[in-house]
Amino acid sequence: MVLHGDKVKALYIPGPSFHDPQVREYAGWAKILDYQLQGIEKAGFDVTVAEVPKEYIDAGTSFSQIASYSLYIAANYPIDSYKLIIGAQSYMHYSIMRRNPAKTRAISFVWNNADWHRDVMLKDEYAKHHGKYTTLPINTVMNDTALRMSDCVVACCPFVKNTHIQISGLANKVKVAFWGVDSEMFSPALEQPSEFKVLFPGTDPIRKGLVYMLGTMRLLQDLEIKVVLCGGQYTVRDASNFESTGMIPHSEMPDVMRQCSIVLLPTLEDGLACSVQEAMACGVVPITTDTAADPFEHNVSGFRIPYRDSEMAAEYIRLLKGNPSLLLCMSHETRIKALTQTWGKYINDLSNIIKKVCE
Amino acid sequence: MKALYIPSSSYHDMHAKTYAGWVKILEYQEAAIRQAGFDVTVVEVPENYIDDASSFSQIASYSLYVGIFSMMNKFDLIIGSPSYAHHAFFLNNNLPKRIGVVWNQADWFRDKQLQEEFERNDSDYPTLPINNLMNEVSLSLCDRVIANSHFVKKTHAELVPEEKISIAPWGVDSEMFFPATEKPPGLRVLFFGSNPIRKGLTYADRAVIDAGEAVSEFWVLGCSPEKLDVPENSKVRVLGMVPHAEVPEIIRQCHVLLLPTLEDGMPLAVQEAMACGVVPITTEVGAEAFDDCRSGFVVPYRDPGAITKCLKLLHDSPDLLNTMSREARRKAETQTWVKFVNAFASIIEEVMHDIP
Repeated sequence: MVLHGDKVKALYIPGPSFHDPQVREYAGWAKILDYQLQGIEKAGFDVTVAEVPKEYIDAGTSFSQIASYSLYIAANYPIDSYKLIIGAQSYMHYSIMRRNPAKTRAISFVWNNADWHRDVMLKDEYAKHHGKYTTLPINTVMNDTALRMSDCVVACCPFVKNTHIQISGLANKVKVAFWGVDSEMFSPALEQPSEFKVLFPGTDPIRKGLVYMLGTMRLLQDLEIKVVLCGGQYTVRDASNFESTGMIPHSEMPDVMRQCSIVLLPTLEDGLACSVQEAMACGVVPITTDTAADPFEHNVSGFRIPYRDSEMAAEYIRLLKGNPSLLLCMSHETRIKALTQTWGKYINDLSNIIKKVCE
Repeated sequence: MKALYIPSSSYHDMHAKTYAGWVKILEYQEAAIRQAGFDVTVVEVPENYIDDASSFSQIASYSLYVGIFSMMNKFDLIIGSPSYAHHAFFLNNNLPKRIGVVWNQADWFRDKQLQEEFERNDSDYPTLPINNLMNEVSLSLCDRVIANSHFVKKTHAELVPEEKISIAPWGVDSEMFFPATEKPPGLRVLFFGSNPIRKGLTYADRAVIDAGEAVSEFWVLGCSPEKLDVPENSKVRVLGMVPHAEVPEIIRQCHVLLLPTLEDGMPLAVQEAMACGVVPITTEVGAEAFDDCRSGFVVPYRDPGAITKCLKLLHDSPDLLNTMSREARRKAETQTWVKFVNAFASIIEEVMHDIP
């Protein structure tokens, strides 16, 4: 897109996390909203960031929270005066419906897998662990409609793209702007860790496969391995080789990661798990499932394991524990791979996609 | 021509249909749309698509489901409750005509009347600013708004240009609701409403106590007994919720309908009482169906003293009570559903022909 004279206006609809200091402090992914903003600005737009007063948010359910946020924006921002509306698909669904497609383009970001995939992976899993699976069919209707009515959908990785192109009407609309990692903030330890530690990051134990990680560790009881649980409210009892950091500010994550040799994330459903890229940048070797494995090459800079397979993960950990030189080599590879995944590249890719859509 | 009619979730709710008198109005509205020459579609939203955690989420989820249906089909007219239809009104693609049907006062008026009243009664006032925003935006997208009374029109005229609001007054079924051949002795007073705070039960109760011997019995219909904290009073009889089909028999056993409501659209109970020859005493918000001092009494809001005076007057003057009863019935007979359907259909036709 060539812009002449005054900048063209864009409305960025990031969701309430953008203005939530607590999310900003604790959730690693929230900084991505800033990079999205930079990508839009780089495409030549004068960007307004939508904000919704708290009293207008009905926080009862995820649906009501999203719908109330989305409605406020469509009612209070002059949608047709923007050349572009861009943001999280569900948070902008009213604006997408309201816009005049001839005047205003709509681009949606997706950084979780499509709802159908999440349901396939998690519904039974929650039932198995007596957890309450809290999504409603209307959320899926809201998401899919917003995506279908968007001119373009930007996914954070190929896996997320692949789950979305199976939604009818999206086959040719989904592009990828691969997320990056801050390799200065997340850098390797100057010395190899003195103990062999495995990191399990994640706040939702069922979704992130905690039970399969524990299964893996049971199979490795003969080895001296420590486990660091990071992010959730985990209580460790009668297990001297487990420690829990609890919820910690994101700024403290690099130090936690640097103490570990391996990040084990047998997640059942994820977008592009930030923690995998961050661990890689720290030279921590990832072992994870397909859904979080886009950032590395299997057998070179990490290991891919099947879903719900504690044994395979145990085999890989045993291999790395028994071969310090292999561990060192993969740690180096993983850091190098992370260095190619920069936020600068993400911003460029995003801005190119935006320009193409708005041409 | 094709119309999408978006009535509200009550349309398909069997419990609401059995107990809430106003729900039948949705059928009269549908009949009117057909009379205006439309092939009418009413979408039923599956229960599992409704997020009923709050009134906002319930309405927004219903509205979203129907809005998507409207997107996938071409309609010449979208008509219904503005909040339930707001997703369909939002859509910018098919550009059908949009008519919002309102039968409650505008939110600003409801808030003004009720917020303090609920606090005074230690109850949570159940609305959110986002509900008001949803209604306002939806109304602003309508080509026309149809109100059921002048008072409802007046409160909505603060939100929508007055010329965009038309009125189709509600009717009453004067065959179902008819007077008793004989009345019991004394003055039996009826309160009829499901929400005791909104409908002013506190003020009704005070007035009845102050009226002393003038009131022989006070029947409370429509409120669930557990919601009530009525002081011990031998005159009070709590009837609870009854199917709407049983309401006429109860109304016609009474002499007076006492409804000192603080906020209402056009309360059907008033018209139904009138059709039974029962004299209404109500506030201005419920008083459009009758002539003050001829076929009923209009009292100020929150004024038990004024109510007591009316009750004493009717007790002391049996002739006046009889005259007003006859006048109320006569007036109700002129308020038919056929008239409503005709007026509603005419407004639709006007919108389709006159608005580009």
